[in-house]
Amino acid sequence: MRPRLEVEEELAFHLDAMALELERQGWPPDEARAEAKRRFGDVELTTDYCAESTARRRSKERRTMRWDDLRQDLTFAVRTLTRSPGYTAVVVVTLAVAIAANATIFGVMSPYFVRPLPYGEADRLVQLGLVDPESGYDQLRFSLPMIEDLRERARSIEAVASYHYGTANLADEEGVPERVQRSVLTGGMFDVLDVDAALGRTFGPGEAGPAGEDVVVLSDALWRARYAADADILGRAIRIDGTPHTVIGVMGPAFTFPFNGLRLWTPDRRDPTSVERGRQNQLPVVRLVEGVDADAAAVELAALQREMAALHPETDGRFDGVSVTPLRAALNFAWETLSVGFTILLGAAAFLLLIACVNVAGLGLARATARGREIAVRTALGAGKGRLVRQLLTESLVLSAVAGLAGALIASLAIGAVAPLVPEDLYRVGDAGMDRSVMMFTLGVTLLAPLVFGLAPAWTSARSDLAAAMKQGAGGGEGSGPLRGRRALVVVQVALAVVLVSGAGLAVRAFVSTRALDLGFTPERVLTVEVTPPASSYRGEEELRTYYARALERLDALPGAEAVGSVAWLPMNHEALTTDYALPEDAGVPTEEWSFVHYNRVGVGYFEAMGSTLVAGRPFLESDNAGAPRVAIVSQRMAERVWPDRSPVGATLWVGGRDGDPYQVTVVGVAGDMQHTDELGNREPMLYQPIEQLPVRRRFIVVRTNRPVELVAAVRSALLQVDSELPLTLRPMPDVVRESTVAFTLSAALLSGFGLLALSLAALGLSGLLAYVVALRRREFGVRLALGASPGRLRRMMLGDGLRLVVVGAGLGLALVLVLGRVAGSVIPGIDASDPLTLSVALGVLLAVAGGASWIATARGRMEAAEALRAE
Amino acid sequence: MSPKERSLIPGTVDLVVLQVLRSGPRHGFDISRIVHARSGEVIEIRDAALYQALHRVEEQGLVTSTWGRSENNRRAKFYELTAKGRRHLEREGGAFRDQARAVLRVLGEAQP
Repeated sequence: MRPRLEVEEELAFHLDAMALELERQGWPPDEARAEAKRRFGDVELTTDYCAESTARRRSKERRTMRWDDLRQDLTFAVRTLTRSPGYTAVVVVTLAVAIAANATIFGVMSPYFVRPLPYGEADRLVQLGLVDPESGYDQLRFSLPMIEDLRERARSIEAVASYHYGTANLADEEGVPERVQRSVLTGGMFDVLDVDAALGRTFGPGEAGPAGEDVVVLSDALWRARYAADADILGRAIRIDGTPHTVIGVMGPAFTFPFNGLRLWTPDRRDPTSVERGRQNQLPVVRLVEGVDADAAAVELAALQREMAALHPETDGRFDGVSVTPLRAALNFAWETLSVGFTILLGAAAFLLLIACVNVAGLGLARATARGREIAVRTALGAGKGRLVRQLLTESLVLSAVAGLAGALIASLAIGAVAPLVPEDLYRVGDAGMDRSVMMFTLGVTLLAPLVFGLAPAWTSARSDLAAAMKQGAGGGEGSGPLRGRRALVVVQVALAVVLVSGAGLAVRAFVSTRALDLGFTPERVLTVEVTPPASSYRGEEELRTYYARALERLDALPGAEAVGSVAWLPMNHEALTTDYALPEDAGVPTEEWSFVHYNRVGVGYFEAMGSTLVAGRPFLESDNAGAPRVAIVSQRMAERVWPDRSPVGATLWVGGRDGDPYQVTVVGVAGDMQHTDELGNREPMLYQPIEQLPVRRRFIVVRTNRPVELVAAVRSALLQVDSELPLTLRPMPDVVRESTVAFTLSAALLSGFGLLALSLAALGLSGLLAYVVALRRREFGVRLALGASPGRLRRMMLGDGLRLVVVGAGLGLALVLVLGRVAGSVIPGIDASDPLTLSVALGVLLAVAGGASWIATARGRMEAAEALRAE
Repeated sequence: MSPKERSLIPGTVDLVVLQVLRSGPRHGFDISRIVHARSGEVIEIRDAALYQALHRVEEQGLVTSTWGRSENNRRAKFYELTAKGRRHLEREGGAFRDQARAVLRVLGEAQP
């Protein structure tokens, strides 16, 4: 009863009794009533007071009751579970593995996607890029004057600063000079990012520009590694590329702008107004005005860019539009690949969890039937259906909690193992590990799982007809509830396993094909050296030519070096350039409509050094130098595309329409196709021009040798003899290739692991079901055996039953694969989910495993049936 | 101020109802009659205060209540002392008495 009503009744009783007594004393009835009320005191106040007190008391009682129930449920659950250690162990292990898989993926990816950027209000930070109208590439860099113009006029921009990066030579009294990655920031960058130094201070606009100072901020990693975390580092002078810089601060370990491995930050000492407008090497970071989103900013900036293009057609006019990318995505050049990979892996892990839950649900159903008698007794003793369900769900929760703990432990180890496999230079916030967000995620998964796998058995157990069926003894028939539910579960399980195994199969196939991929060159025998002779020492083309000629001569003389060459942009190194071209007969076509092709500039000996073949004509020679006629080499695919019915050797081509005045080149050779971009399997058509006719400052020297790693020291010292101050970056070509493809290989490995797990779980589930069914039909089998049915026939019957389930599940799974494949295909180009080979193999393996499981189950079943008969 | 109108020491009414319930479960009206009978000449305890006290001590777990039938077969709420209430009564009731005796001793000595 409502508290207030109860109190009113209680007080009414008192007042009535009082009134009665007063009447007996001689009071007239209505006056007695009034007098009773008067003597009582304030009835209203008392009613309120007592009603509130009652309400409080009742809710306290309810709460206590709930806690008592919960404690009881937990104790009971723990006791029941410890009584069936086999069941508990299987469930916990199954769930733990699946939970661990999910937590691992999340944990590895958390530094890339989840952890907040260590910058103030990071969601307002974006990076800008210029858009190339022909190719659509939208991450081209700005020049300082361009950025100044934008800063003045853009209303979406609250603040802007820009940076570029490269390597520098670091020397001081500490020890050996080393080459480090450093970034040059314009004065306002630390303000834009809204970060402070951990030790000392950062630099501001006062230290930048021609009137500024040569200061430097160190990264935490450099401070610890080179200076042993010396607290007196501030004020020390260190030499960067020969110039003394004063250390004014050290950043915290979380600050790794613009990528991990960056060791120093120095202010940009150039005068923004006197820098050439065409020198575009700056990446602008913008803090958008509060409330302005990236799209709105892009619109405004694009309009501004068009104005600037009109004013400066030779420089700004070559671009059309400005891209605005959130900083997190911009800093991570592999963002798209990583996002896709992450989604796929997390999806696969979720699938695995689903399979695990289905498996556990099946086990739970079987157990529920086995406990039917116990449940019936408890129902008879008055346990409500709700209470029963709650009880069984508590069991599921306990199982899940234990599994979650175990899973978290496994995950913390797995994260540590998997995380280092992701390439180092992808931007991330801190190291992967078991942090709060991963723990929250694991907790969420752990709490969600029991709802999925615990509900079905709990609900089935609580149904009254189960109790009735149990009273009739063992042997529910084919159509009985729990059996049917379990069969459905196996079908679902098989379907999910098919999806996962197919996905894994596809991944394995992709992986295998990349390994066996013909790249068009032999990376395992190539060592690369990245060199950037600075303008201060090598002012013009002549100096560059001299340096590189001497460097190549030295390297060629090294024992172990079979061939040397040079190239402007190393293949598979995330740098791909294009140029326009037109056939002589199409020269009149406006340059905007010219076709474009990937291109590169290579030196003499390049193709030989890379292990690529020349298919026709000749390679570049020393004579193809600055004053000589312009020549070019085309790749085989380009030859087929442009000159389908004849050899291109000797043909001429117009090149470079939009970059400047077009000129003619003569094709002198056809090279084999080489893989240049990350799009594995797609060896793009390429146009090569001699690097001496179009020199660049930074080049990659490639050395052909038997064992690239062994030659590293010799190459380095040979080059240092040519110029001891030059920063060098040596990398064996296999490392370059591996880094290009690592996303692939990592995903493939993980997916394959998941596929295997899924397969095992499906097999487990199936054999479990069959064993259970056989146990259920023991009596029936015993009778059949007694009546002369051959054991072989019984076994075939059981097998057929099991296989029927598998076939239905496989069909469902196939349909799912085709649907999901279409979805995946729209996101990841090149995926063919309906690839028949993969699907057939996946199905074949699944059927084989299922068949094996069924066989084992029926073998056991036969023995049990014979026993059953004897027992009767 | 007349003796009857003086305010009681806080907690007194609670102790009073607990004491009345010592001899067995009773309903509110019964408790009221007994209290008035025993104390009505010197101090006055309003029924409102009594009922508030009853609900208070029930909330504290010192008594429990059940709905039953009165002597003339009407629905009434019966209160009963719990073990916790019994212990509370002994402790607090004893403390009250000790305090009162001490005050009386002081007053007694101070009297001329």
